[in-house]
Amino acid sequence: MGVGSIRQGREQFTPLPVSGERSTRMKVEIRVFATLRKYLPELGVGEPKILELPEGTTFDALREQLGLPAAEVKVIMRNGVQASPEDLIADGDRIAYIPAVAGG
Amino acid sequence: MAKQILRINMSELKATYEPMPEKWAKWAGRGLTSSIVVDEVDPTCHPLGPNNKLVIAPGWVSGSPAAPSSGRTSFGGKSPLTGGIKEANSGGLSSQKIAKLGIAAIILEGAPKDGKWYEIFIDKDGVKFEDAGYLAGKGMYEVDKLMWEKYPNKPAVIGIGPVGEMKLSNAGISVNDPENEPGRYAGRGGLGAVMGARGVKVIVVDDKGGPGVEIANKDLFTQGRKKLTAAIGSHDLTKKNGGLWTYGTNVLMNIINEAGGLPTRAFSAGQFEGAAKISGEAVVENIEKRDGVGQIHHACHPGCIMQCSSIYPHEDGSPFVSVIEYETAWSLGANCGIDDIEYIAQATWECNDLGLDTIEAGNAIAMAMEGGYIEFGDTEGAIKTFDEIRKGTPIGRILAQGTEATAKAFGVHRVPTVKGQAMPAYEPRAIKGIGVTYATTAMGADHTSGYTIAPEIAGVGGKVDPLTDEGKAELSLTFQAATAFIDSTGYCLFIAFPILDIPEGWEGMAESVAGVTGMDITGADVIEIGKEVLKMERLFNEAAGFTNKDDRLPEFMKYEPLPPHNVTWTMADEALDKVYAWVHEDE
Repeated sequence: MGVGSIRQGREQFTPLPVSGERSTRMKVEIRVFATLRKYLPELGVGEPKILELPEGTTFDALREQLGLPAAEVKVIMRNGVQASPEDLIADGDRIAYIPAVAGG
Repeated sequence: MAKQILRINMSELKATYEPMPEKWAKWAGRGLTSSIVVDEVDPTCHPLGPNNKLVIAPGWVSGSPAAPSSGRTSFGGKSPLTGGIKEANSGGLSSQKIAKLGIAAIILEGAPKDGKWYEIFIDKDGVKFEDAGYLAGKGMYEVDKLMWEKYPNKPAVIGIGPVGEMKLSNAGISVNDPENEPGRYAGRGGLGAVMGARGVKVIVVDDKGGPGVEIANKDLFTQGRKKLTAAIGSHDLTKKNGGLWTYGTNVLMNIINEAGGLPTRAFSAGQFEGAAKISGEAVVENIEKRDGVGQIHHACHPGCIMQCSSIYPHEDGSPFVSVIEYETAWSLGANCGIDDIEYIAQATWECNDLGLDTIEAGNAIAMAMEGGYIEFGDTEGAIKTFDEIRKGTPIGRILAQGTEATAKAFGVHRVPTVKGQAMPAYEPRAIKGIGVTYATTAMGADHTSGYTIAPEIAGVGGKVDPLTDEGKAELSLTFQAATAFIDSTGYCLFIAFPILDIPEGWEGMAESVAGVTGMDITGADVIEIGKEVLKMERLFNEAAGFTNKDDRLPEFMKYEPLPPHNVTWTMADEALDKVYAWVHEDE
């Protein structure tokens, strides 16, 4: 896995069926790590899932849509900054759902 | 049997067992190594000279039956890398075996008059000295193997590689693991050079027939260890199938990268495009793909229930290296612009064999890259540096002298060190609390001294914004104090993650210590006892010549914005000075 598979992931991206105006939809990149990877097994390590979402989607709603159990999501990041489940997602966001991690 | 101090005088080749003096009686682990260093080592001495000592101590609960994850050994002395006090601790076999021989600490002092290398064997009958000329120049993989062939009972092997023999400042001390591999290191601060300066190549410890560890209050100990075991077993991070158990410490690579705090190419960016390729997830995929000896959730010492270690195999399944920690994969990888996990595995093997701390080694290579000696990302050039070190060439010796020495040799001014010790795998401009720890701990830049990453990134032990300065001085001090206590217990520091979130686990830790030692302490005493350790270490450094001006991050971090957040180090010097102001408040 690596750069090649990331490119491949992007090429495979198929926009979701869109209803209504295209301008009301947002395109986001989603990554899941470690023990959450099993819920999106099609993604390689570090490979993003590209999705189009309707405006007004929260991080919690997206989590639900992706099938990630709330109890297993410890931290949500938007563009490298922590976000809250109830925050609204914005167009172009790089989103990560993170389970309990530490070490070092 | 009361615990004893084993004093080994290398000038006389004489070992004496001394009763534990009252002044040290309450201490073990880091608290004991630091107490002995403070009492017996002149803070102004040369770290390689005759007046420095190497102190080795298991923790309060080490060697007690069924205390979970309690196999840490503390090593202390004056650091050749920082010039200050040093405690570095390691997993492996040594802690429990030393403790079961009834030994609270080993003090290694003097140097052989004949200039020879020595092998020291310790068992229930005492101490034997042997000429170790036949081991001189050998790497730790061979040394460990030879010691298990020579001595029965699978003893602990504490040793130094060629870098320790050369007395260079990035020499660590190796401890063998249950498979007799040398991947466990008291790595930081050059204590391997202090052992080398004592003329000791290896210390072998066989606990067979030893008196074992006395338990003062068995009921209290059992109650405490059960609470602690339950906390470790139920926390999402440390439980079976949790993040640490599955991926090891390198579970952090992608996360810290996502947070923009992964130091990349000599601390010039906070994200590395190749992070996923060297992450814990990638390592585990390879281990699972390759048949053979590969293993995840591997224990670095008997009785560890967190099992964050792993064994990485070659493609054909044969043994390669244990263990590719997060710090190691970052230091030798992202920090050098390298995304090749096979290179990282080989470089880790070289560090384990030569006796190098991986954090300092990768930083030194990054300085050689910054200075133009090798290109960033050049794995062939980087691997050759280990050959230079093995041969003891001038360039090899400069690199093995550490990050600052290498930066000076190549005219580099962007030097990521504090008190002469290189920063580990968290960018302080993007994660401010860890920067306070780097700046203020007596150890030099060290994440394990006060791991604020837990609340700043992982949401463990609370949740705080990594990008703000507010509250970080207090946060760091609390973590530094808790750490000094845990480093004295013999427990692995990683028990902190579950017990920060689960109060019964915190109580259980303190009760298990009280149960073994008979000391009257509870969870409420942990921070204050930890601060006693911090205070003695701080005062040692002051006597060695350190002032508040040494509690600063490198200048370039104040003016060079770090992408992707484009942040600089903004913490006020006055805020840093307050972290340890309490040390002198009673005067």
